Amino acid sequence: MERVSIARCALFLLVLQSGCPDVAGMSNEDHLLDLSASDLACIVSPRTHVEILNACTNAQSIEKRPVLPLLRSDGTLPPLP
Amino acid sequence: MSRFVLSFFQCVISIALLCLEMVGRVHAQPSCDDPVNLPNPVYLSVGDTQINLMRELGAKLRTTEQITLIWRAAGSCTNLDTLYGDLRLSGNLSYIPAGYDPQTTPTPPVCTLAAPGVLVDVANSIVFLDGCPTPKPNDVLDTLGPVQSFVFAVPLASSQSAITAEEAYFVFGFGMAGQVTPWLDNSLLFGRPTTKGTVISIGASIGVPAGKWQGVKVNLSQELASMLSAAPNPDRALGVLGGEVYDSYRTTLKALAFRAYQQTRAYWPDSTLSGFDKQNVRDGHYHLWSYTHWLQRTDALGKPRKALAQRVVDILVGNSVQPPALFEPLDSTVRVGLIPRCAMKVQRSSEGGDFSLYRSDQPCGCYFDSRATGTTRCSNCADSSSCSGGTCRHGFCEER
Repeated sequence: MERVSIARCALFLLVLQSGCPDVAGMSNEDHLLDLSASDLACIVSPRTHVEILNACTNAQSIEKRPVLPLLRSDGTLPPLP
Repeated sequence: MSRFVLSFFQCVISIALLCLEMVGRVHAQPSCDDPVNLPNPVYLSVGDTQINLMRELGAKLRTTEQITLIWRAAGSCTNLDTLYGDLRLSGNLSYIPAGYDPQTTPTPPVCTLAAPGVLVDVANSIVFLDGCPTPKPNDVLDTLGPVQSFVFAVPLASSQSAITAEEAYFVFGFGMAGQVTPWLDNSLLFGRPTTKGTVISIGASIGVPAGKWQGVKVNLSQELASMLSAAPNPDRALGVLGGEVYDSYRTTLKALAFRAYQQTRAYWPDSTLSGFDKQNVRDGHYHLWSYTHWLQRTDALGKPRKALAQRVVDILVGNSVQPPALFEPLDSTVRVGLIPRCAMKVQRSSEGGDFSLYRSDQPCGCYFDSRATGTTRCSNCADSSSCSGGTCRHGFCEER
């Protein structure tokens, strides 16, 4: 039972590492940091729109968290002028 | 003696006039309704993002079927209004002449059409039809075509590599007042007029309607690409382009990876910045795309008014035609950076709308990979008996 759990855990980590690659030049630390952030894991079998957007892929990607002064405190966007 | 001199000058003048006339003929634009030099004309009004497709497909149609594509490039909504209102095309139009090679002649020649001109046979929109203000009349047939991607692009010298939907909302919705670093100069934000599909489609994805875009409105995609390439402060410059137009400017521009709302990471249309596989468009990691639409007026029986135009549309979108085309119809589409629907794994039903999974009845993903990237993991085949499961299509074992 314990072996199964360890195997599942290893498989999960493997999927995480292979499914969300970063652009060339980013360090391993950057990569691990990304995985511990809000987007904990990519989606293996996407079905919905959000799952499709965040599905596991071998494509290069970039994480970007810009500072946006006009963003409301609750994270919503203000109306257009 | 004097008679001889007079005859000599008469001769010289005659030769000069003859030369002038010949030069004039060489430089004069042919008439678009010349049935000898422009046989079997099909008149189209297309987005300027589709010019490369007109060149590629037009060359093959002209060579194999003696069909002459003649077109005007305009914004999607202008194209629709032209067809819906039965407005006539006249003046200078681009066309594909005999022997045309799109590789050696990037700019097709121009023919002229005197007023009142001709009715357009096919109108093109690169956005869903409800993205334009005029409603579609009942006697208009809309044929869904290949997928067109869009990009946020910056000069090659820019240090930027990605943009989020929220950033794009503030940049193009507020201009410099949006306070998004480094895009703080309205004169270096390059958008398009409100009738253009590029801003309608991207606007739907970021929540900025075409009429609300800040920055410079550039009429032509190619003009925008040139202005962006030459921007005096590359880091502050940002523009929008159709994906296949961008592909033509990769030596001076680079696409930004885009992170959509509710997405955790930013992706390019291709699996890498330098790729051409359109992997992220096809599998739904890249949000900025729409379908091309090809529209025709129909007669009282509901059939397109011009059978030849229907054949062109069928070939263009990958429908089967009789007799079969003497070339691979998907080639032109893939070559210019568009994505046949048969190569898509996701779909959407509104501009900038949500994705759902999609499986074509006649998939062509293997063929697409082979043409777009030069490689595919699929097996070659002559017929389905050589495929272990699946179906042989376009020379490759597809999943079904």
